[in-house]
Amino acid sequence: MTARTLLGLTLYNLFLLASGVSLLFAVRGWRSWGELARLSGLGYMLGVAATGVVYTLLLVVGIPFSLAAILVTGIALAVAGAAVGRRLGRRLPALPRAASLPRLSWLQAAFAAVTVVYLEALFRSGRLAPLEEYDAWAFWVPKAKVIYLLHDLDLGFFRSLPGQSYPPVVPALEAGAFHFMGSADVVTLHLQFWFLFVGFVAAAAGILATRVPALLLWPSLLLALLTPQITGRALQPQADLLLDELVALATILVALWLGERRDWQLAAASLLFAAAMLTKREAFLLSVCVLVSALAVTVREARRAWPRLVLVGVVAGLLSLPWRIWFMAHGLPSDAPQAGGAGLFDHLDRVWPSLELTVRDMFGYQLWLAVVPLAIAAVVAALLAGKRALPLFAAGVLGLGVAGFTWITWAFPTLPITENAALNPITRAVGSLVLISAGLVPLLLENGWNVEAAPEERPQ
Amino acid sequence: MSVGRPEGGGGRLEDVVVEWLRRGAAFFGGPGWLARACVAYVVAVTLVLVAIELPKRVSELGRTTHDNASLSYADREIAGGNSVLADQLLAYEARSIVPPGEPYRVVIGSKLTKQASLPTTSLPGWLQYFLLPRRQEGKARWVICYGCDPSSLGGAYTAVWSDDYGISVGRVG
Repeated sequence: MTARTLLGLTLYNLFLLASGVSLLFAVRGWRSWGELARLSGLGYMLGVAATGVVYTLLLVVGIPFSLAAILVTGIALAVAGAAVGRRLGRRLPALPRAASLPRLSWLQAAFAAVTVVYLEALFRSGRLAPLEEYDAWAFWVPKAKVIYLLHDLDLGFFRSLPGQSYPPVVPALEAGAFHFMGSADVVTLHLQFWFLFVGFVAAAAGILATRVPALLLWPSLLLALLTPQITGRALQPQADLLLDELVALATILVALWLGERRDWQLAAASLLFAAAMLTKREAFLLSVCVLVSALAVTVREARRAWPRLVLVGVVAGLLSLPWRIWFMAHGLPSDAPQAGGAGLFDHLDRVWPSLELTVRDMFGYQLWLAVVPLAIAAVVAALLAGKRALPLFAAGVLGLGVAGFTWITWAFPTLPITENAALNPITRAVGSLVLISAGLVPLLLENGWNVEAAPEERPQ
Repeated sequence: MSVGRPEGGGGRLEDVVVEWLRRGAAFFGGPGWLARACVAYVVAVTLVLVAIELPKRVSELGRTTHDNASLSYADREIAGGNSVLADQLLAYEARSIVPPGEPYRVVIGSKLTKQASLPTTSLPGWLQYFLLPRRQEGKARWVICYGCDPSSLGGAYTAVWSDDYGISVGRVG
């Protein structure tokens, strides 16, 4: 709660940013310092993702999770990123002769100002926030405190908690924050999630800003940020929103790849999917929805496109494997569905109510405003403009997402069919589809508006 | 998609309006006009919703900021525990009495004279979170007696701290 802990937290996030920018150099590079500034949000999120994956490996292998280990991890990621970038022939651009502010149109400046006002209000609301949420104090933050205080995944302690087999990226990132803050300050911890939220906004806006006019980009993004659910959950020290942010960014990158075919987009998406899988298990389902949709719209060029898309899923799955081996080897309860496989047929009466619940949650104005209906309208606009790949991809992700979340309620018969998020996770889980929609809508609108040349047909 | 000021419209208002209408018709009249109309609809609705919701969210966040700032230090630190604990002092006393390296156990009984808003089943979980790195063990010497019967603790129980609600922290043996 002190200025010292706040300073420590800021340094921690600058540290994540530095690691991530180095990884961005490795996978993509940048042609100007202005371009780096625009993509710094993506760099930060790549840093978060890579750091989360490596922290998980450290914990699974049993390397003590000390401040030294955290510093070595960050420095190693930065050095590796720089070395790979150099190896791939990337060079830093020349330093600008004089410092200059980025040029913004009045429209961009207006939307940027509105976003800053909102993010500043969010920061103030989290500055002195108490830790109230049940899941946060029941297992997410206790796990982080154990990793911070005892430097490992204490099996005896993990066994005593709910959500034993939930993946460790969020607790590990929180433990890293505690190290930089110098104490397990669960009040200031809320601001770690503010940094992640800002990173997501900057990443999504930075990726899309050169491809989509401000009038198509910012309103869609802002509307998603302003939904009561996202505003309410943005700073909760839990895994739900980080999962949504990672999956949404990965989906935007896959959508861009469908039109631009830059390998770096899939490399970055793979890392983001891996981190999402190590954040919450729903990421497996969402990754399948995204990649199957991408496979479906590239069926005519399967020979060239499919191996790359399959590789995205395989690499992400492999990176998440050590954690799954660890929790299975130590006898922690499985996270597989209670009524998986043939057991589903014993609960056919749950299919329709499960579907109804998912759709009701997605379209609930008090939860998510009108983000999903507007996304559907954007899909229609792109289809009317004669575009196929992007709107069919978006429709596929949303459709498979609905089917997937229906399956979750169906396959876990102990889950009551209710919109109460404390009893059934679907209300929170559909947030990933809302953030994905927010990322895809600007591209869909650009497709719908620009009949002559959609962004997917333009070189970057 | 920028729409510039119509040129050559003269100074008369009706000429300007006619020119704007002509441009609008040309814009939406070509191929893909339906798609563009759909895009315009989505953008317009989105802008309206943002204009409606932004002040609401900023206002709600302002209220949350005020509420959080108004909390006492203890209420902010105990937070979720305020719904779990019948006596907030228990958390601080347990933290100061049970040494960080020692295990403790939570024994819940029927002698509690004050109830928190959540059932007592939530208590061990919340104390586990708050008292880390101290761990809970079934046979621990240190006891958090939450309305328990001290004679059932398996030895002579010495309360180091107790309150008027049947809650105490102490040691067996």
